[in-house]
Amino acid sequence: MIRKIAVHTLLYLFLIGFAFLTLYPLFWLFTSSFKTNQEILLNSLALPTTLHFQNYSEAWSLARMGLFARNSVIYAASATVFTVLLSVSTGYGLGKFRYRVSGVIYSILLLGLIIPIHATLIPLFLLLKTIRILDTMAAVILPYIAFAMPLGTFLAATYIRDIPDEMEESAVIDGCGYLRIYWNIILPIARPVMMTIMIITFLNNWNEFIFVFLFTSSLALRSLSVGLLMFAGPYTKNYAMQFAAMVIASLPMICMYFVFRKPMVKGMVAGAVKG
Amino acid sequence: MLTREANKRLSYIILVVPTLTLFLLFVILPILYSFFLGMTDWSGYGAFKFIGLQNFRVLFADRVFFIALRNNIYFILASTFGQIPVGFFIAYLLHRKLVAGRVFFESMFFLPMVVSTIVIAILWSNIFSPQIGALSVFLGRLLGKRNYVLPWMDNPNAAIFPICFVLVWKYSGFYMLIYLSALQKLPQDMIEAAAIDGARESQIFFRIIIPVLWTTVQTTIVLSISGSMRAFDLVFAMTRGGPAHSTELLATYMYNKTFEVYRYGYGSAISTMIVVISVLLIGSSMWLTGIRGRAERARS
Repeated sequence: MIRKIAVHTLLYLFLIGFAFLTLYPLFWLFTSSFKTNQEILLNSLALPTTLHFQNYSEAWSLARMGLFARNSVIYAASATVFTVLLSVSTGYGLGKFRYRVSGVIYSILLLGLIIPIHATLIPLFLLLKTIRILDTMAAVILPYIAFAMPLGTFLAATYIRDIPDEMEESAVIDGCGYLRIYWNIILPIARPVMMTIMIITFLNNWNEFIFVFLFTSSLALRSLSVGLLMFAGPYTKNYAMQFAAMVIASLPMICMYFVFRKPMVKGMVAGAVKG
Repeated sequence: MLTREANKRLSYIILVVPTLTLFLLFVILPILYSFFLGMTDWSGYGAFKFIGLQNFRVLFADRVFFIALRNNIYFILASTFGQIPVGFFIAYLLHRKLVAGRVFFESMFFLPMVVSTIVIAILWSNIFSPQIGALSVFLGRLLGKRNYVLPWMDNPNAAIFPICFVLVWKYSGFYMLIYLSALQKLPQDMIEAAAIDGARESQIFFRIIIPVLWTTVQTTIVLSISGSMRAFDLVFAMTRGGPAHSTELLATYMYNKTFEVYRYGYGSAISTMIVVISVLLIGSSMWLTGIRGRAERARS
């Protein structure tokens, strides 16, 4: 009995310790973002004495976080819309049309889940340069869509394969074309998996760094991740503003996580386990 | 009018070809082209010569290449022997209801996964930094020394280890979730029956849970290898590969050679090596864990 209690206490201590280790840095980031630079330099562990919201307005305008946030939203949202629509159409094609070539296409796409993306950077850079879209929004959005397709197609195909065939067969008998079936039957039924693909793709694109960093060069096209490293990198002197900028970059995704925890987790695990 | 079959084919093409084109153009073609570029001496501008395996010969004598490779292997080890056991252990505690508060712990441990690697990297380099570093202050108080400065990040022999720690810190929650979802598929009645028959927790663990979960172990090892070989952002934002190239990864070294000193051919050769090494490591890990799996099946 005593041994059991001791084991129990140890387990709790371990978990609470680990939770502290996980949460404290994020908590430290959040509280530091409300301190003045002086306070941070004087004692980086102390809590803020007053809530110094000025850091946020400085980060938003002075460090251009407002501009970068706008760009991040445009990149992530537009790439996500195309990714979701294309994933479901490809998932429908590969999942329901029994052509032999489907298996081959599916395997090629799944390769994308383990390919080290950095091996594609140099040729991709040259390709975007050749088709003259380097340093435009398209140079970020097109690769975002292409690199999100393996996971999206995989999730969509697995979901759509389980939709009973009778539903579309009756539509075929009624003289419905396959593209009508895609739009009127598959898309509405696939809504849960679209949701999952949407959330994961948006999260990944929002947090992405290297494509924006390499494929754009104008300040006006940078995203939050890249902007953070440029203005608030490890060599900054204005720590308070840097912390505020980091909170601006992370808070939207943390909120999204708490709202959509279940589909997000489900999609990430499903994608990972297949990859 | 199209026949039904022709119509079906046409629809199939419309549904699948856009994705396939995009994927071949932006993912597969670049990989293949990179293999080719790796055998040239291109500098990014003008003409270039085909020089066969010359780049690779230079690469195999390049000290920094091996430092980078070593660091990638450290990442793989930190993932395999850090993230996976920690993730698994926590998942097991939560799943077997050995502790309460499952949803709380589960969502907290996963939180670092939704924050961008760049933010995590800047956050931790601030914690480790000599100037304002929270850890320096904390340790300074603990040791009773004023103005204590953490010596790790400036030390070429040590700087990679704090980065490995951050890696484990960020991704353990992810592995926890993979194991939690695998544990949910366990034959629950089997475990209960074993418990009724008087099996100890350790027996249940080694005789039932580990064998059933072996494919998940295999999957997570592959994941940790492919994830570690893809790593870039963390090092790039924390140290840029420094001090003195000591924290360089293959991907950051490729970046450095290509986009900072404009040796596109050499950079592409590094890219090729990243793909080759990934395939070799993933292949051999599947083979190794496969042996264990077969032995497991043979014994039972």
